[in-house]
Amino acid sequence: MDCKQIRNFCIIAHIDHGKSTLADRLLEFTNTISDRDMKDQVLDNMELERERGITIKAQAVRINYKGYELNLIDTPGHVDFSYEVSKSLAAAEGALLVIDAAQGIEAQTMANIYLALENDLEIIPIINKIDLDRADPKKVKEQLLEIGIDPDEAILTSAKEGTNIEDVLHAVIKRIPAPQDNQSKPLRALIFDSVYDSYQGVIAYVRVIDGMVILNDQIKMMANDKKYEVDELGVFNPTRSSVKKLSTGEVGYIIAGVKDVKNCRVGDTITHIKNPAETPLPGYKKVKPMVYSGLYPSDNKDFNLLKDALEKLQLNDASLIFEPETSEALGFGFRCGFLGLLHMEIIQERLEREYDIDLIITAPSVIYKVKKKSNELLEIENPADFPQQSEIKIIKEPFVKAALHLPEEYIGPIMKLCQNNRGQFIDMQYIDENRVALEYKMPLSEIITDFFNQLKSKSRGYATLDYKMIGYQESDLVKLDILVNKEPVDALSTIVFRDNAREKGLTLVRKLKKTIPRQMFKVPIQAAVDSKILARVNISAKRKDVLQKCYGGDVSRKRKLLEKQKAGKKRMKMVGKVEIPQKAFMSILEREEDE
Amino acid sequence: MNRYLNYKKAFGLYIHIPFCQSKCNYCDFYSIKYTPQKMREYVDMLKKEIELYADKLINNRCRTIYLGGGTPSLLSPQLIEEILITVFNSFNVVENVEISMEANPESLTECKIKAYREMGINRLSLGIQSFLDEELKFLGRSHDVIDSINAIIKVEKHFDNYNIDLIFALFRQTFLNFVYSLNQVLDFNPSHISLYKLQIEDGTKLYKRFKDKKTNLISEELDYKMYNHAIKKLQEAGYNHYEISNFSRDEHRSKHNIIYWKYEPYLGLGPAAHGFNGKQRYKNYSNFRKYIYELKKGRLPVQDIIKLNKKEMIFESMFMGLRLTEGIDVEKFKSKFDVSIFDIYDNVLQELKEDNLIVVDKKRIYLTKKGLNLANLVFSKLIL
Repeated sequence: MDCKQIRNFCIIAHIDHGKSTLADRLLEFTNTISDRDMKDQVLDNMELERERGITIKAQAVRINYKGYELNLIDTPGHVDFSYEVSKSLAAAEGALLVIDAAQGIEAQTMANIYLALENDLEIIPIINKIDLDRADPKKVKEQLLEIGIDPDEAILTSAKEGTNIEDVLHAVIKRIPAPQDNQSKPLRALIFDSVYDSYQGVIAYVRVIDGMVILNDQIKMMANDKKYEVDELGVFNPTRSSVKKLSTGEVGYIIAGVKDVKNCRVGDTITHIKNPAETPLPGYKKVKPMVYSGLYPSDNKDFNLLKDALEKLQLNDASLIFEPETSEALGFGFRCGFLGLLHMEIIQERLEREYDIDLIITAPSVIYKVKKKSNELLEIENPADFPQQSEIKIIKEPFVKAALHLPEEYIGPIMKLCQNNRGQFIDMQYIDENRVALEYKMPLSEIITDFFNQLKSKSRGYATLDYKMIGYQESDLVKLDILVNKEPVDALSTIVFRDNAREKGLTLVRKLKKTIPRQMFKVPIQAAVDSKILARVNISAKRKDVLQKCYGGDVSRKRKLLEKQKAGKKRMKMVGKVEIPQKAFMSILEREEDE
Repeated sequence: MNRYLNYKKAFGLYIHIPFCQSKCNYCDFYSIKYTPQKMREYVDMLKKEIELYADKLINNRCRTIYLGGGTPSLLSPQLIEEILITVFNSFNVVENVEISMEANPESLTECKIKAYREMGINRLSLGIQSFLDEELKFLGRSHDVIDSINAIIKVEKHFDNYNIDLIFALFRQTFLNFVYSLNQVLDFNPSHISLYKLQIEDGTKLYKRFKDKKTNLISEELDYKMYNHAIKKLQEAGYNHYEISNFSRDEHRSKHNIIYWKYEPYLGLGPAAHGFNGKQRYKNYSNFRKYIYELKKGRLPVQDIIKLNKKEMIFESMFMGLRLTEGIDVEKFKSKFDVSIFDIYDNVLQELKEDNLIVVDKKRIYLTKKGLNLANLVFSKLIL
């Protein structure tokens, strides 16, 4: 296909603004997918994506429309996955910026706009959901003007009802530039995503920037010089369909017998072995996980199962990292690094759902930098590994700049929430007459606990959040230990701000009292810093648990009841002589400050 | 021949009478509203069921007879007698057989009581539950305290062996209210007392009301205090605490119920009844119409046969047997299952012993006082 007839674009949006629904309509309107195959959010392949209504992985689909080849790249909306977004943007020349007509511009919208501008993309603003009663396109246009986008270029749509979908397609053709015609140059294809297929190996999603790639070509990865032969080339419309070649400007996939995903890194450039390109395309920054937590199988027997499952998930999700660790309380497991809390939740759900593994997850932690008095420097991602307080000279923790967008009536409670989470106020600006943008400097560790949930509940869901790492700073932190029946439980240790230690300790022990069932003996639960007890509660001994009435009849039913009771206990971990249920380990993840 | 019909030993016979005047708030047993026509029809079918079994069983020796419900005392003495005559004509009933019948105070007249006794019923079990009207109302019983007292007075005239059922751990029940009812029971000095903690069963009216509270309507401490006070008080009064919830004077234990706890065979008749031949269990249709229909077609109204593997049987026999305060006979266990209890439960028994939940000697294994209170914990450790 002539480059002039190709348009590569992606859709960017704040989560829930209707990105996937718009994608559905574009596919439907162009008959890329028949009505019969149409199900909501076609591009969200994973069960989990459909259910949560979010996009996790990028997807690329070819649309044939009026002699043009339009390649649509769907991107995730959540802050955790902005890395995925940036990958997709590098493969496109333009972006549809979807804005909810009722919600207006959100924190994530801004982040996406900056990403698009960095990648020199043509932005087409789409004001979506105009069918809603609360829709106020005029106000959204004012907001657009405010941030320097021409509001007259905005297209008003209702993806849900299919309004003005044709206008969107015309805008894509008219306003998004065609790819540069570099047909004669040596091949350079950018890998912008990859998935792993257990039969065919790695399926690399590529955008051909220069030259062309043909079936059976000998190719190599420019990052490590690994050589392969192209087994299959193809495009998505929307299911995989093979083609003989992919030429400049086109988007598609390459299968070349790559068995290890590590040899097909997203961001790498594919070229020919003969007549190779001189320099690779600019790659992406390698993402660093921001949140760490321990993943343990509830049943120690499942360790290998968990290992296999994590390896498989990693094949499709290079941002997930893990290494084995052991905990006295939980046995063998993995310390895993995630992009954020949502990423963590999704990995957890996929492990439980797709691999049927019962998990215990420890409280998320960031990487702390500790300088010991001996001047030794440590990077610690597991609170249990913290050195003795007396050996520590300074502790540094990562800080972020948090951007929050919210209706003005919630300013009070949200500012209080930020302050309670050690936020330092930077700036406040009105986006329009009743929406406000707040900027705070905050420790990342505060954001990754319950901050997001609280933000949503304190603003009735109207506040949105985006954040950016700004580096490490010294903080007065201590390790808070939890002792159950006088034994420290490593998996329950957390790093807290010194001035909050007592309060947090008290909240934690009270929570544990609620979740740990009575045992046959009295169990004290204590919170301690450096073996100094800050808070203590007792769980009194269990005294009575007996089925009082039991005769003949359905004895099997009674047996099954007892068996069920015991099965419930399997999800418990023995710490010394105390049975601690899984939910006790999880309960410390949430923080209810109103308690 | 169907294996579930293969009874090697004499069985206890349970006959379910599914009729009630009204359903109690806590009851999850199968029962239906009674009418004279339905009762007549039911007794005819029951007789048919008995005769079908007499036909099919090779060994039809019957050790005990128990009429439970429902409310068996809603049936006239004539109908009860018809049932018992059929039983005696069809099965090989042992001499001096224990024949128990459950009865509710509101359905008893002296005339009926006398007739039951004269036909040969030798044990009555009375659903008294409480000696406070307020508590009876909470339970949804259709009698009041006066009815109860009058019924007991008449029953003791004709029966020297009768049981009083008492329920504790009611919503907002105080310790003294419980002590009051318990003392009232002791004043009558019945030969047998069953003491139950109120259990909120799925599907009952109380379940709907107390959904969120699940099982405990009073604190665990108060529950513990009531139960253990009762044990002490009843033992002082000369009762033998022979099962978690059962107390008897002299040798008036319930022979029929002991069959269940010793994991021995029983035959169950009537809708929703279960039977067990020592290896397999069967379950009758619980739907009254379906039950009648099957019998009219000349078939046993068996809905399901529950097969048990050895591990399940061992575990069942353990948690049933440990309910008896005399516990489990080590020798009998071995002859029943062909394996020593110590080989199967080696570490577990040691652990339970160390936690002071059971006593293990050469002859038997039984629950300690602590173990009686925490029996479910003990049982769940014995799952194989």
